[in-house]
Amino acid sequence: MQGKDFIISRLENILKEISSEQVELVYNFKDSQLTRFANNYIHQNVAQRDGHLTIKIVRGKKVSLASTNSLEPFTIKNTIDRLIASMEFQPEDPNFVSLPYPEPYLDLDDFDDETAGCTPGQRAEIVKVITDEAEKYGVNASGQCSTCINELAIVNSLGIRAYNCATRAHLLAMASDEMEGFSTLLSRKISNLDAYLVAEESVSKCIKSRNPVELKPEVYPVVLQAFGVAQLLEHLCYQNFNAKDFMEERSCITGKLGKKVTGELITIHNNPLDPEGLPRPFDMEGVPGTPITLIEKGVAKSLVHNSYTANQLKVKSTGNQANPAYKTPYPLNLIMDAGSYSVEKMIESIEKGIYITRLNYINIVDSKQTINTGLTRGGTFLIENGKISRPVYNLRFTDSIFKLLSEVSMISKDRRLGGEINSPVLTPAVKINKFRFTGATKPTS
Amino acid sequence: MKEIINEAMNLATMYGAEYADIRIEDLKHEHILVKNKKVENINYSESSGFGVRVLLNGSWGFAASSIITIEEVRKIVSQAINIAKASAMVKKAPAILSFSPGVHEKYTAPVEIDPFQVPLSEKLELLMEANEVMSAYPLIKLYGAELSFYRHNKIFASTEGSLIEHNYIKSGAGIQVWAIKDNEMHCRSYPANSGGDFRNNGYEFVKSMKLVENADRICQEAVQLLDAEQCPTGEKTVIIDSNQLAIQIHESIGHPAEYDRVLGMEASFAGTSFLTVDKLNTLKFGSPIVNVNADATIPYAFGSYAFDDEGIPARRVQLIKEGMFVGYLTSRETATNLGQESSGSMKAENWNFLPLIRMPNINLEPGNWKLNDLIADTGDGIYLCTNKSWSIDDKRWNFQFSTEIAWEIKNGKLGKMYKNPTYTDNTVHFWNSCDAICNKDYWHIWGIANCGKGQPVQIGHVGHGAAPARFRNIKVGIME
Repeated sequence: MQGKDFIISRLENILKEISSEQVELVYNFKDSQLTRFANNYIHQNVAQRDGHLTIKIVRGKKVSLASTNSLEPFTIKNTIDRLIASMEFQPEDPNFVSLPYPEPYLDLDDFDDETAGCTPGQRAEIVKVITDEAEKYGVNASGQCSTCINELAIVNSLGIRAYNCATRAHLLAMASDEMEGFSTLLSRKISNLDAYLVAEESVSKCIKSRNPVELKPEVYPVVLQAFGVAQLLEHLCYQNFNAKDFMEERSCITGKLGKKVTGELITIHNNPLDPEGLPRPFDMEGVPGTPITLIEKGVAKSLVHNSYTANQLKVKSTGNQANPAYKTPYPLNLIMDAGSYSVEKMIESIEKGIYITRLNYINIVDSKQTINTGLTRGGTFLIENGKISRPVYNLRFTDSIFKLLSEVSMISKDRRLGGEINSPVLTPAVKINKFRFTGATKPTS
Repeated sequence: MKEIINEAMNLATMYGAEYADIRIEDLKHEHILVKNKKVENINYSESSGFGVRVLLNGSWGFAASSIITIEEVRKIVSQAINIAKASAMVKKAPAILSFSPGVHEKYTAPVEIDPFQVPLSEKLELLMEANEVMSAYPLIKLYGAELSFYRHNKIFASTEGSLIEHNYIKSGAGIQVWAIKDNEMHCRSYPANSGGDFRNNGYEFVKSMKLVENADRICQEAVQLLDAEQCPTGEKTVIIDSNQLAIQIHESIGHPAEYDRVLGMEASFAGTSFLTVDKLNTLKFGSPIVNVNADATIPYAFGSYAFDDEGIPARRVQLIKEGMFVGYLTSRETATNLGQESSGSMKAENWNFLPLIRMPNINLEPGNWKLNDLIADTGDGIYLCTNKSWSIDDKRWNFQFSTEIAWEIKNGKLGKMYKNPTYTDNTVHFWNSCDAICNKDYWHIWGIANCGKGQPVQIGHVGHGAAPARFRNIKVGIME
């Protein structure tokens, strides 16, 4: 960890060296460690320390950008000289108005000493809980246990001085035999990652997946666990609920703001301050995050903004600048409202359907219609007469995410954090009345 | 740098490592994107640092830092050793490495025009000119032209005495348009999606692409797609163009042939492979005309290099011979499992990543057909062009692709245009249904700049050579 005082003072010194109308400096220092395992042993074990500085300068309506991972004076000077030289040939951006001005942000208690000080030996012990469980049942466990310290600082010539230091931890396991069982946990604290839970969930699903049967791909009712719901929301929201794609008319909700796009049980927020997620106090411009509702009871309600898109539409930035190099904002802390059911009740309500743990390799087929394809993975089971009966070979789906969310009839009361460390998604499990499967995957013998 | 290298290697040995290597890298990347005649992005980024890999009592440790000093090297080597000790807490058999000769080499990839010396004004002029052409179509609501350049300098050294310096320059470019009307949107790209085409070449590659000259065509096609018929559903004969076939090769041959996947080392992320060891030299992977090699030696190809990140010289390895599955992509550690030497396929994205088994250039060898003759020979079918999306299962068996555009083939002639073309199959059925491949006049090596693998995820640069080919009885038209 480099520390607030060191980083801010270093950035302020760099700011003084740049003569320009407006300047933005974004510095992200990560100290991250990842212990990876497969076949019940640690096969890759890595650590890296890297800081990345992005310098943005503005002259009139010209904006120029460069980044480096060195804070050495010589490198910084070269980077600044290059930026200034490139200004001469840069055309103006008529849509650019201004970098953002300072606003107060919440000082989140986002740092955990135990996570920051987590050693390779401690991560190995966590991994051993999972591999021991797998060995006991004669299956193979693979996955990763990672911890990181993430320092983010933004300094701009309009007065922004933002700094946050966060710890994050991630545990993931895939137990494999003939089929797989999956489990994962995300938190800002390593102590919240219950390795025994991850071990039990992944290994038990793997064992229950022995002797799978083939299922004809067609339309079924489905219970989709929280991680799978998170994956669908990521694919729906990242490319569609940002103001830039909306203005360019390529968002699936272009022309549909204020209109019903899913079933009314669905409410999805972008909330960077929800303590149940992985909160972030400000974005990559230093603008505090504003909780907004993207879909409210099925109606497309809002878009996420950065200062670039907000200035164009004369609204307030929602604090969703995800990458200082790009003009497109992204929703980064997706949260879906919980319901009132247990997963068991959802299963009981299905005569013949499928229980899905998670999805895999989702890709867009038609973005305007939100049609995506992908596969089930990590524990897929047939539901018969209200009970999980047999494991099935993974199935391929091709369907519209809007349509799937319109077919949601039950939502669980419990939620789980999925997604990734940089883009967490908090979701419940759901029952989807009609989920279209278009293919089946059975490994060769 | 010699002092840094010596300190790292000597220290690792002193700590008891039976093997260690260090990579000191410097990567510069320039990306310019002009959209709707406005500069969307001009970004110049630099990243340099070093990573140390150690093998201690058969267990691996890796640590990396952006601070290249003797003091930091000492910290990082010590950290890598501690990590290796932790790895040993959950260990099975010790990792054993296949033979590697110690090599002293310096390689600089040949380049005619250094793209980093080309003035920004010239680059912007090219992109603006393409934009100007594309702006003439009212239904083309969004259009863009982009350039990408990389300068990657790398020093590799190992405790086995290797000292290798590589210097590469890479270039890529492409244009893309979106026709939007009502609630429908269609995209056309040239020469390919996802940033275009890439090579280990300089600015001469960009000039050869003729971006401006192809802008009108893709605009017209995108607009026509708005009114085109939906791709029909059914089992059809398909001819797949070189670009889409490149992605097909990537997903259904390249990845399953990565031996670390077969061994389960990627199970928690992208998955494993159906190409288990019992299938080596026994599985009829494809029809007898299907021959596929992995070749890292083609100088200009995007996946090429002189030495991999274990110091193994680049080589050509046969993966499929006359339809039979015959080879894997391996590393020094995994090759010993097969009783072989490494295929030289270990690459890391940059200094801060561990090397993984990566595809170099995976190439479907050309056949004998001229494209016009192949179409004429195909009574009824569909001609699928330019990859749009891809999805494949965790064992690389069931896949589904969509392309940007397709044409009906009727009575041996290209007919009406189809929109939303998709096709699905399983890998072995698909490649066994290949009954014709076009000749080397139609063969092109495509560069792909966004292959993701590993945890943490790293991005690899790979290449795929392919000529258009025909496949029988393929399920097309997945959308309702």
